[in-house]
Amino acid sequence: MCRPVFGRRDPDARGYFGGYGGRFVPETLVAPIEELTAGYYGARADAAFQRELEELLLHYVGRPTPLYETRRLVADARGGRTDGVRILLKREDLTHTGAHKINNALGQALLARRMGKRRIVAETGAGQHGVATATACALLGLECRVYMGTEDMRRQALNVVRMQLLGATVHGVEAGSRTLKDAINEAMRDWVANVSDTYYLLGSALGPHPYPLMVREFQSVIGCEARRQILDQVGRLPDIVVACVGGGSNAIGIFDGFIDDASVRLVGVEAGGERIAPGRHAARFDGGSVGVLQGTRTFILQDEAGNIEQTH
Amino acid sequence: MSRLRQASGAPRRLAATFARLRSQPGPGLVTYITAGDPDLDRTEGILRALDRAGADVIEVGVPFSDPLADGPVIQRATERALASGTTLVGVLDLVRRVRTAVTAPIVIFSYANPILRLGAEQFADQAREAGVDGVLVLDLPIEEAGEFRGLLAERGIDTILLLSPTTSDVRLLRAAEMGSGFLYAISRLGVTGARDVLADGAEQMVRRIRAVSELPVALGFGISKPEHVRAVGQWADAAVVGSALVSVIAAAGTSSDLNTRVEEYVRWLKS
Repeated sequence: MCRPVFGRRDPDARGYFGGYGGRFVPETLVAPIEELTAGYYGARADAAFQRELEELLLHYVGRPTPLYETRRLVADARGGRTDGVRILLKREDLTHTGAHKINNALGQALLARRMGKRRIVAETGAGQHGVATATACALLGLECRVYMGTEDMRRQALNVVRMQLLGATVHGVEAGSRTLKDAINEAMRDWVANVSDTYYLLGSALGPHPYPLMVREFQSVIGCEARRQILDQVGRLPDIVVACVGGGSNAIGIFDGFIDDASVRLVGVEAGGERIAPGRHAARFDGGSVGVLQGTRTFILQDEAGNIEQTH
Repeated sequence: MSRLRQASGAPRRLAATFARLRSQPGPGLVTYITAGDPDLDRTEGILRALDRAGADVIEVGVPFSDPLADGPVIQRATERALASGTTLVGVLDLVRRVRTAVTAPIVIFSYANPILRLGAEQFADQAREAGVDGVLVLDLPIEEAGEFRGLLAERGIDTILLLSPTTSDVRLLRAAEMGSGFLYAISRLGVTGARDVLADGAEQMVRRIRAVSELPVALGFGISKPEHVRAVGQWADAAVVGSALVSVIAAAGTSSDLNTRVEEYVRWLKS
């Protein structure tokens, strides 16, 4: 069985992966981030921590998830002929709570408990990370507060109810565009004010080091499984691995299994919206530029003055 | 550092201001405003009013779309400032316009991204031309600030560093070595915002800094009344008032007595 892959490609001491990453946080968060980094490095080296996570992934999350070949989709898309094209789906939707987000939420919730933090704050956009976090907190007996833009709450009302049923408090965020980015700001403000007892459980491959590393490593189980499964089921590596990219957590999770395979193309697909024009899309790699936002140096959508543009 | 200071000739404005404060009775006052709230033309009037009222240092906040270290008052001010079209370049132009009319040192207070978008070196050049005395970047901790500090120092501009109750002693020492002008101590955890009472750990925070640095210390976060300013003045060189002043500006809005209200509030704080 695959496990999360720890310690294989760590960033440098300042948290950089090449030119990206780092820690751009207000001074109050520097010490908590250092505590978190030490806590994470300690946990991932601890056999008992790894074993508990693996058992939960097996018996609670329902791993491994299937790799399923979509024969009729290919034929339908190609007018009845497959021409040897084969498409397989890594079915992360079949995990408990219905999204890959649970892999990371459980890993970080276990870490929080190990660090003695009893209160969890998290952001959520569509609600999948919020539901996963609320679930992990319910499982481990942790207090949970989820920040969600009011526009997202309106669009994803069912997930709000799910989080509440799981015992989480959902706090609506009225600021800015009332979506994910504003929920992250508000979760960070909560963390700044409550650093001693609170753990910020970030769900995307974003934020200051060690968040991108943690999210990648807890999600790496996806790529590890997918690689073994395709070798087993198809007998060869894929030509292309395709993943959708928003915050990047599922993409880096599956890409991680294939990064060392030079023959495999890794393709991220972003939301193009109406067109690549300010406010009309969410393609921060294809239509954005490098900047610093929410603690990390990465590709962002920004205007000439360095303010973050709305996504579509 | 001392070599650069000599090279730039006259003593820097911040150093001179804090030297004067130490030779005088009474607390120093650092005032923060969000530039462009309600608009940049009115900010010019506000800066002049602050100077007339005796603000010892003026921090000019650059509005940013994602102010994650700020509480609701400055968030709302930021939204108004962005809606009025305020940019970093516009703020630097404003400083250039008022520089000769305002005697207080001017510190630019910004998040990192607007500065990086302009280009750190380009920013440093424009800040020097505008007559900026110091720069504080909220989300540029000392680990990331080295190169930027060098660019500013070469141009005779001070790098103001923030210190928090969570800052370790090791980092206090590093900040004391890297910072110049003054050190900005945060008196409490959390985001910016006025409070009724001073944080318990404020005095202790200043003592920790005094133990490792000769630099002047300004203490901020939560200060809104003259008794706060006087209390802080017993331990620190100056108190910083931000959100409470921004609230006064917000309440005045575009009314004709905006500058008068600002001036009266600052005089009251210093009373």
